[in-house]
Amino acid sequence: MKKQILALTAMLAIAGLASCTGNNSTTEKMKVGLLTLHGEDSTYDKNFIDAFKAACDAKGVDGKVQTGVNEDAGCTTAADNMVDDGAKLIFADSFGHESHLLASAKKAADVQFCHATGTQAHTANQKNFHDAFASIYEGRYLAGVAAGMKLQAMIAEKADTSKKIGYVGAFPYAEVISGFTSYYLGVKSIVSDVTMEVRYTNSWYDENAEKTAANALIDGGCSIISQHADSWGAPTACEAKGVPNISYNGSTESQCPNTFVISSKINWQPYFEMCIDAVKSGKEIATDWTGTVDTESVQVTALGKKAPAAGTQEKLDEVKAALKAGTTKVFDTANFTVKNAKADTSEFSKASYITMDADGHLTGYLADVDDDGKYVGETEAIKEANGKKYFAESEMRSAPYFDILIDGISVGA
Amino acid sequence: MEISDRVAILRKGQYIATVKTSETNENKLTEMMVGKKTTLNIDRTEPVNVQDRLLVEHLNLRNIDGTKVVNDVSFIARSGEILGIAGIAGSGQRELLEAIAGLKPGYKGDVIFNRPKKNLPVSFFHKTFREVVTMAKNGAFHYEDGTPVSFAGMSIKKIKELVNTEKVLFNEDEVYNLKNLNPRKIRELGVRLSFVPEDRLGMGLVGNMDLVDNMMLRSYRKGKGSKLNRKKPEALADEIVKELDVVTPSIHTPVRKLSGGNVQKVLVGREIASSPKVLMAAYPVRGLDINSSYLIYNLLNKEKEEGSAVIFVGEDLDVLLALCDRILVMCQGQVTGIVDARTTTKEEVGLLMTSTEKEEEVKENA
Amino acid sequence: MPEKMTAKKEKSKLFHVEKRFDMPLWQSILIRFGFIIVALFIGLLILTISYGVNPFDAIGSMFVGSFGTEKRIWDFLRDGVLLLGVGLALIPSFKMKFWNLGGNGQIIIGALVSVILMINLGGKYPDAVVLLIMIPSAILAGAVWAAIPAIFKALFNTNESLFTLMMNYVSVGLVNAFIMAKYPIGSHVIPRIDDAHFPSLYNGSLLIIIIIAVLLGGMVYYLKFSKHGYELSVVGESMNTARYVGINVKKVIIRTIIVSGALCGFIGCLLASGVDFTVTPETGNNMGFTAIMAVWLAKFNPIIAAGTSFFIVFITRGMTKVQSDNNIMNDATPNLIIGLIYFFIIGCEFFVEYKLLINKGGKEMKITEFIKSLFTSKVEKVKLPPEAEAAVEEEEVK
Repeated sequence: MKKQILALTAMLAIAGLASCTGNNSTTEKMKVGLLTLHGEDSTYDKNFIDAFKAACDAKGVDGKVQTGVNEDAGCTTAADNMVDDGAKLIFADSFGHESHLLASAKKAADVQFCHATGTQAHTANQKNFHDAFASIYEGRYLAGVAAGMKLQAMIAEKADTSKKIGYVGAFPYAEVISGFTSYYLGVKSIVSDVTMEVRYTNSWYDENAEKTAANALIDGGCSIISQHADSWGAPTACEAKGVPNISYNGSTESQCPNTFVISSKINWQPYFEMCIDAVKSGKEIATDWTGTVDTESVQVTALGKKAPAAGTQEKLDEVKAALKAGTTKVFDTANFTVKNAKADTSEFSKASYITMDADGHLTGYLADVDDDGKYVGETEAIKEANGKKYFAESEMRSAPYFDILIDGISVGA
Repeated sequence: MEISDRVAILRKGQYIATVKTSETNENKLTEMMVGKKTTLNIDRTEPVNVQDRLLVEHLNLRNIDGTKVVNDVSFIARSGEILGIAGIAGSGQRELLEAIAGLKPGYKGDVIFNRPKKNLPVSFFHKTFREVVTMAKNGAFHYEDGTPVSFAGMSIKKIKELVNTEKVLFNEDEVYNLKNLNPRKIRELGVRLSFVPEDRLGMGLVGNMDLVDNMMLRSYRKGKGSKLNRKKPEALADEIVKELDVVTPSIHTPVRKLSGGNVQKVLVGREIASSPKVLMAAYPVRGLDINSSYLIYNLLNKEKEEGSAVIFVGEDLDVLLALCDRILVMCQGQVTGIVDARTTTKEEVGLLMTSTEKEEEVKENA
Repeated sequence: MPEKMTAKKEKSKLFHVEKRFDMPLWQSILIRFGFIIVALFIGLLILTISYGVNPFDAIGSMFVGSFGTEKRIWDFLRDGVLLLGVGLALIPSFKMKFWNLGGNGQIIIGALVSVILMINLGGKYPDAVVLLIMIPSAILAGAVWAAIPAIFKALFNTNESLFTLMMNYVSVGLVNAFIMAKYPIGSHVIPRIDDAHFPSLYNGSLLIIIIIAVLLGGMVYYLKFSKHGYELSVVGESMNTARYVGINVKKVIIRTIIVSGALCGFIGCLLASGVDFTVTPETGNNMGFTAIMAVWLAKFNPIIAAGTSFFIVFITRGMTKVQSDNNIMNDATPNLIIGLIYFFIIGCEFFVEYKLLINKGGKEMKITEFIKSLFTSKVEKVKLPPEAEAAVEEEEVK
């Protein structure tokens, strides 16, 4: 009996070793890799994975995905391993991957490293390291418009519907703030006296915290909930309480058929395909690349079947056309005021970077575009076009840098 | 032999035979129990050079419940003598020994260890130079002619010469109060007090360690530096195995694998290896086969003959009467009597074991 | 008259568990090894069924995961050696039956202290100076972290399992507080620190490997050849005996736990300045618990612990490679397999400690004998001593 066990083990071991050497057959396909923070159970990462698979199939390259890559040195190791395995192009999808991916990029000059949502590429001076994002604020704005239509319909049905809406955010920094502000501005364009309360969970993916925050916002009188969070915590909380939900990264209709309104998302496929083409043909990849509605990088999903108000699709088409034409600017300074931010005296106050006119509208703002870890604003972000002053989001680097808490938005405990 | 009609003999888990009591005797039974012919007897010698060694004065010990488990016990153990302690189980004998050994901190009363030194020379074998000088300053020594010793103004060489030629004599015996000192401190004082506890593998030895490491229990701190010296303990283990006939595969076998008798031989062997001045043993032959029991008795005897004060707590009255010189009887934590083992009877001892009033007169050997 | 020798037919159970007293070493190793193979087999089976993974490819991937490239080999050695390092820290504590479950917290506090120094002193002073300050500080931090529960245990006999466990949460809280205070903008991470890296010999891993190898030797010496190690063993094996010889049990406990915490703190420093170059609430990646598994399997023997540590790292890295090779997007599956392996490894301890006997026709026998007996019909005769043998024959004649 014991002898047989030994023999079986030996056979397995030999077979294993033999098979691993014999496997490098004829694939001359280019190897491409993707590092994700969590797995497919995260809406955020699933969005990347799906786009990546589609892009690799479309371009005929060999794509490998490594999930569960933490925002620490494990990321460097994972990237190094991919380089060792022959990858010529490596993507990473989470904000905190950046410094670790950069370390890997410094070691492999002939491999291209592309980081989504990052901020350091334009100052890092590393030729093979690139950042990418999309003007998701436009997507959020559109989603906000849909939410505004819903809120208007709810008010028409019940006059005492609360004009407060809720937002579950991950971390209190520009990417999240820009997202909820553009969403809020979209709602405001339909319901001008709406207010919004934001609660942070301090995590990209924490189902429990997101659910708790959503419930707290609902219990606090919010009529509609949206989120910048990777799990299904908030949408399912909304479904359970029958509160309309505007989602992110993808449609949540499957689990929330009664309350799903719309979702904004970034479609990464165009970017992936562009990079693959660039590496294949030896061309350079942009240091900072911002996808737009035009490049199909910014999308909104199809409207939910039950929840959205009548006439939403038409309104969306109208606003979309205006955004494309440039006649509507999301961060039009005429549409919001920053009196609270100017009066802020806390440690990380933006007051010193704000120049405000008598009515409280922004006339000048120094944004922290160069991310040197010192949190100091240095770049003028207010520009003018077509006679309108606007905050030039995502023009000077791909990742957002709008980090002002405008009037009408408050942060909950 | 006295009450049975038939006797069945078991040996090492196997059935040997059943015999009629009338057709057999102790020797035949012993032979069947052990497997070979054996002679068992205890040679009790007369105490020689008896000196007061351990004075226990009014020792009182309460247990966790607050009940007095040792109640005002006083006695003197003498060198060259075996003092037996008799009593029904739970009369406080075990606790008494543990208290004396330093394992029950917080007892009341005194335990005085006496080292007869009066008029004997001091030597650097037992005391350091500094200690000798300090003691001389305190007037502890005199010369042969009676004049007190003072080292004032003397050179180190001269002092050393005086001591090494045995000219410096003690004025008094050395006396130490062991009250509330833990076993290590007692050893550090130079008091050689050994204790064979009732719980052999649970207290006296470490079951999972081998003989060598168990030998080291008392002596591991010796030597400078952090490294253990296993040479002496190894030699000691070899010696004990040889002298006491310990059955073991090797000195590196964990002691829990040895049989009861061999475990006790190892334990007793270690405790007597340091040539103790006081040797205490609590139920040392409990559960042992007859051969080993008698070996232990002989060991205790040998220690007595070499001048130790032996204190022996036992259950078998016959053995106590045959082995000991004096017997202290305890009942409910109190001393009910101290008798001469040679002249007392089982009945007398038995009575003392069950009486709770202190006898007016305590028969004692002068 | 001798009594009847034959046993009455009692109602007996089908299985009977009997404690083993002695098992030759080769046999216990074989049992453990056998169970690991079974676990791997079942794990691979699950992978094949759920994801269509080719089991031979999977085994190959597991080996490639640790040995495929030079970098992988170095990472494998480094990870194995770090796990061993934590194990070495825990061994003295566990030998003394003080269940130090706070390894994670002690590592994290060491890493946190290191990172704080790296950030505040790095770049301003030469690396060597920062390191010279950092290493003792991390060691001290870990020692203090362990000493607090130890003192409470010694003085008030508080439960050390709970206390050390709770200290883990405190240290994580401190890390979170630090990150929120210093790096409030962003996704709650401290970006990679570029100063005061642990010196690198040939590559980032060699020096760490050498250091832990030295620690291994040191721990072997400490446990087997030093007075402290001896006292530790006595206290752990039999506290009564320790008191009997006058060992100050309280002092030994506190001293040993401080050693345990100090070593963990040092590992934290190694992680912060030699591997991660940052600190997160997950620094150490749960090594404080995985190491318990490693040393427990090794029966608290430092040298065998090296083997078990490398084994655990091999399995973990192997599973990650299998996952990425087969595009398994789910994080749970590899963890499932690893958990299964752990489960089998622990479960097989039962078969090492106890013998399982099957009752066939009134006679108890070992499983192997039982299987044999299915093929043969011989029944062994029980041997009796001569006197009893005679008695039985007497009875049978009657």
